[in-house]
Amino acid sequence: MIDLVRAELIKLRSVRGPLVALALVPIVSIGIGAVNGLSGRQALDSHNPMLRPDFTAQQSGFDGVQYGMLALIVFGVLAVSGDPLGPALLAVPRRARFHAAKMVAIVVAALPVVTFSVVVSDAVTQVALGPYGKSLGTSGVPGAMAGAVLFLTAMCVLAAGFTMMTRTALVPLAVLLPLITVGSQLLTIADASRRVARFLPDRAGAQLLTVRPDHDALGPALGGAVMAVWVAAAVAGGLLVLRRRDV
Amino acid sequence: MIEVEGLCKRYGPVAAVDDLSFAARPGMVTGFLGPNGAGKSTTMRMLLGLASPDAGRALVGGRSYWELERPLRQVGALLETAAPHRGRSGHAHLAWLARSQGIGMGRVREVLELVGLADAARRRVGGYSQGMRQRLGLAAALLGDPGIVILDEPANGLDPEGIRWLRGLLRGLAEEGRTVLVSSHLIGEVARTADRLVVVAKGRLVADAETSTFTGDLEDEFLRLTGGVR
Repeated sequence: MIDLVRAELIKLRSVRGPLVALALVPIVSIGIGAVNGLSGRQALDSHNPMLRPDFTAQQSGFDGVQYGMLALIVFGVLAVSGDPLGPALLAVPRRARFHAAKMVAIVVAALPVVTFSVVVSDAVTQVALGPYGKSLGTSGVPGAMAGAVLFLTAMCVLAAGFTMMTRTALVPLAVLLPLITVGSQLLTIADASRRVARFLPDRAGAQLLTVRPDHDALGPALGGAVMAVWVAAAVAGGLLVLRRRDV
Repeated sequence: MIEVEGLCKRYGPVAAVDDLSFAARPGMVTGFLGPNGAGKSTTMRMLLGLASPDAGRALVGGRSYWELERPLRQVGALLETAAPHRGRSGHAHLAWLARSQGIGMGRVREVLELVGLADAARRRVGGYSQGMRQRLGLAAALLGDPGIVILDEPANGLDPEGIRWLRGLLRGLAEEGRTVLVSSHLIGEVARTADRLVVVAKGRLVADAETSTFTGDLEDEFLRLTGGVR
């Protein structure tokens, strides 16, 4: 199995698409983190009423990685869609083994990049906030950082599993990216859809990186569990489709 | 040894492979002939576990392909559907294949030399000529030093020199005691190389005999055999 994972890692780093997407994760996370911190500082300095009322320095440190997550999802999609099945299945004809090796390799590749992005993006935001910045050791922050790493990695695996079901990059990208950028935000406006939207993967998973959850939110434990169900469903669905597929 | 027994595969109303049985033995080149759409590639895909048969069995070395541990060490294949990613270099393609089978990187260099691609190995496959892509496919097939070799239209895109080289390669593989199954729609080319010919048309077996038993003009014979079920 270790050989199979290493083979998948060679695949991931020998084509351009997934590599570029993965490299964009820290660039976007840290870039947005810096801009976010600077604009937060300006807003606080000038007592700008546009600043969201629930703003905290601790929570704003996690805004950058939620944009970096978009690039990470693209990585998860391209890691699967960009790998032709023919040679892959000649090398590893047992489809469950191939699927498992691919998912593990995606996690192995994503994890260090995500961890780096989460920590540095938060640190940069706090520095940019200047006098309003808080230490990364502030109560609740280390836990939210671990949660952010978990959340982002889980979204990446979800995207990969979803792509194994469709075998094309188009459908998962067209569903996941709009859902995360606007869809589940829009759904939170109306009260009825808000209750449903809490169970969407990105809303539920985002509970993991919340320093202090809202009173009507799922909370990190339940949110994480809901997220885990989504990921398991996507990975299992991918395997189900893969097992039936003629190449 | 390759054994196909009562193999069937339907796509909708069309029987791509229809109750097909034949065998390819070690130490000889078996030519797998038939017009386009006769079911040659579908049969090979079932032999290699890429497509599942509706009925019958397709065995390599007495087992189903998916039962093989590190399959490339036992069976090497060249198939259009198993073409490498065009954005990857030839070397990287062979490198991941080798890694997945526990084969050393020295062997990657060896097969690249063997097929004459050593100089182009670091370039992307997308920039290869059709002949170079075919040579890379052959390198991948031979990577695991397999006892069984299954090649779908290996002469496609090769220049005359390449075709002569391929002929020698196939003869050499058979003389080393390997089982070699080669499909083609080029009758004359296969007849020069193969010891035995398996001819299919519309998914069914129409002839299975030593090449020497085909008397007279092979092309006429082929068209008579495959035209009969049209």
